[in-house]
Amino acid sequence: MDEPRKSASEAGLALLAALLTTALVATLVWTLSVQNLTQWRLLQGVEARLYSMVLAQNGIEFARGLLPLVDVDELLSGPDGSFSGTDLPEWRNPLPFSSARRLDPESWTPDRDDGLPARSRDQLLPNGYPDPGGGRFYLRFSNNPEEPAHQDRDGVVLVRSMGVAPLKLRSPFLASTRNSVTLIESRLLQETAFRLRSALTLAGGSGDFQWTGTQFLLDGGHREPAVRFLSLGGDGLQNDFLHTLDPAHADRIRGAGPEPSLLDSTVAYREDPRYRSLFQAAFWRHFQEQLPNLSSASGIVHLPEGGLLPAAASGVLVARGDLVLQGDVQFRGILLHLGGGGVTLRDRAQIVGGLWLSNLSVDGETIRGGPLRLHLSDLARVRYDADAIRSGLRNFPPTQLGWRLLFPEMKL
Amino acid sequence: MSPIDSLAGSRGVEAKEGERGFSLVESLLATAASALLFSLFLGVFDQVQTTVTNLTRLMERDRNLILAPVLLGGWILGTGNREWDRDGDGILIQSGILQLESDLDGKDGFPDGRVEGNFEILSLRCRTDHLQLKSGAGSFHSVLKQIRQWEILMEGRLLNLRLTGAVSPNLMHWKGDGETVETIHYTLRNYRPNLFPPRDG
Repeated sequence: MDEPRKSASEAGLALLAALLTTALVATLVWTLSVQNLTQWRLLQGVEARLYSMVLAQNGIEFARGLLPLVDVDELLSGPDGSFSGTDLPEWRNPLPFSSARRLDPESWTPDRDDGLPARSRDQLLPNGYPDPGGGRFYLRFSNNPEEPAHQDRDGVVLVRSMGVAPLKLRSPFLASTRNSVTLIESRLLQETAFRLRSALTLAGGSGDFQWTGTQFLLDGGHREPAVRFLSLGGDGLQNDFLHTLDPAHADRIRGAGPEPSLLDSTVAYREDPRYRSLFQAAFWRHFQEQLPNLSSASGIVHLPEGGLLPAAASGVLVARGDLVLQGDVQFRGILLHLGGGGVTLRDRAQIVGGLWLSNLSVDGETIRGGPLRLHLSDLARVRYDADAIRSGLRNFPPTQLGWRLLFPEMKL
Repeated sequence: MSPIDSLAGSRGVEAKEGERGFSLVESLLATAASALLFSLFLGVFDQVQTTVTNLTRLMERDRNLILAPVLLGGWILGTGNREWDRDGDGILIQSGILQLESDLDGKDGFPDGRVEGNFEILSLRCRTDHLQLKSGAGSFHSVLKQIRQWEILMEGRLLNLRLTGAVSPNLMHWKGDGETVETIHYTLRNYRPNLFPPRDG
């Protein structure tokens, strides 16, 4: 009877040892797994957070590129043309924060189209911008709080970009956090100071104008004058212009109003928020300082020494010194001549859009106006064209006035 | 029957065939062989342990260097970029400390933000092989280990950080110091030059 008892005892001990070993190994494996899982989840969280931030920033860049191409009022109302109001919570956000955290991008559709990226009444990102990495960004434009929500006058808009990055490791215990979400707001200004509203805009205090022949043409079309005057650094500009005209030239300067079609817009522009900056020294100082850095990158042609425009061009041309357009050359868009010489148009040279002439120097907070010089001869023409000016304005990058991260705890 | 056999027999124990005990020599040989094997095993184990420890330290160093851009990106891009109608860059570099200021205008900057003062000032520095972070007027605490030193350089809108990751404590039985360098570039997007200034009034 001893043998079986001894065998059973040994077997029990072996089983206990096996169980203990198994428990030890299982505990070890479980501990390591939990540790690794926790670390992985933390890392995933950090990675998703950064990814969502990068996505949101890319959304701001998208908005920055889009803004010059669109009509802001149309953008604010959305493709349906009606503004839905500001009663909804988080109405400036592309979507509410809490929804974004649980969002399934495939099934989401926006509840209203106000401020969503659109062009010519077509939505550009109906379901956000899908990134190859699996995340998306969503955008919504809204007007700055200083103005009515549906109507823009000052060119300043807010854009909020929401980056949504899916968390790759999800847990049934954390069902509400499907995505990592970052919301960025940028305040952008689309500068409109050079939205010219005449064939020729003269800004200065005096001028020297030459008209050769009776075939040249300054044409403002039916709605706008041929020539607008802005008195800057002196008030003899309009008189200088009128003294050079003889009666035979009157019908060569045509547009809205009686011929010659001329309008002094100094007071109106000074009070208009879109043009007020033209009378500020800081505007001109900054613009002239930054122009060389930004001209090539933004598609603006800069000719600091002037010269002969060799071929047809379009967009925005900023020149100083003596600039000559001759032969059949045509420029379409906005031509800004900032002094240091004059502009000459001869033969059949033509500007379609608008021509701006100024010769300003800034001394502290004072703007001083030098004499302007313009010579038109033969069949040279300057013809106002709103579409060409609008196309030219698209080359001006928006000015970023502010940038901030938004959190759900803030008033959104 | 020999005396030994008779002694064994007297205790009623008989050695069966194949159950004979080890002789003294055999036992000594076995002990010596075991000691040799054990010492060999200890040597190999020590080598393996050293290698594993070194690898772990190197992997930890590399993991910290991989994690550093992610963490720094979050802090730098998220806090230093909040600017409102001013030319200041919101970044201060002094004595190896990188200070990032946010929301410089407080509640006047974004009236709907419920921000009563400067939202956040973060300071980063490298001390005793640790990257340390300080929020506001608080004190520095370590956020990343094994960062021996960092160099900060601003080039226009580009913030360049050069991190030197090091193994700490040093690698075992290894002459090198285990240093490796990671260079990170952050474009401070908000501080871009603008063709037009913000409007006055």
